[in-house]
Amino acid sequence: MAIQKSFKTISDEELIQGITQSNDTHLFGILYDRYASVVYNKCLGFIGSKEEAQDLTHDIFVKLFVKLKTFKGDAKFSTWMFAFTYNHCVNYLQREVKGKKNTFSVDENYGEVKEDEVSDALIFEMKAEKLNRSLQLISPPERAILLLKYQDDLSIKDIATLYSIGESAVKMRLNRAKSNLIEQYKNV
Amino acid sequence: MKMENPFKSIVENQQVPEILRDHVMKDIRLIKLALDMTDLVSVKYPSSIFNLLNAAENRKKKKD
Repeated sequence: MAIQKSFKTISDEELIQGITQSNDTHLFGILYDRYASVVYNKCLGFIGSKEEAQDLTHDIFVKLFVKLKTFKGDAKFSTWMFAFTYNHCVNYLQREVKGKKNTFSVDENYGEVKEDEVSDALIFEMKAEKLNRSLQLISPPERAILLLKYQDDLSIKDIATLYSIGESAVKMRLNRAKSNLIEQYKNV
Repeated sequence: MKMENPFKSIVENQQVPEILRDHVMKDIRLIKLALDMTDLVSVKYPSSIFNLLNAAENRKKKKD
């Protein structure tokens, strides 16, 4: 009982160390209990369908068991987990789109996007329901970076570390994503 | 006045289906079995055979 209790109170990082050292499925079960709800709701918000969100959550945790060794501890585990979840969702959507032999129109319009700094105030003025619909219309990678920044409150530095790119590149991607979001918001 | 972040209002808050845990854990146990089997065949068996051969050789040398 005491051992079980101690497992429940240990930090994510200690838990991960235990899992990677012995591939312990019991410890992985504890990690699942901690993050299943967050991952499922992130998938649901990203994809919009309960069935697909369930399949994605399943696949994400199975993949996580194999890929957990790649977590180096540069960022907090929860932060890394958000990015891991969004990456999987983005790949899933891009695979699906490729299968349908279609492309995201937003990617084609990259060159037309104005590079002026887009103010956060414009984002915060948005109505939640309209924002949700607009997010579904922009490309999945843009949706992911916007959610990391504005929903999960990650700093530019955190995002740069997770994506292994420079902070200026993150700012540029964020700016493009915001421009496209505002564009879609006007048309919704 | 501080503006409200609309991204926070669109966070989903649904219950994860219980059955999902069983499916995930079943697959995780299968993967662990596969990993353990791979480790057994590719690392542990060769290592024990190597040790066995070495021990036999050492015993033979001692006898000589």
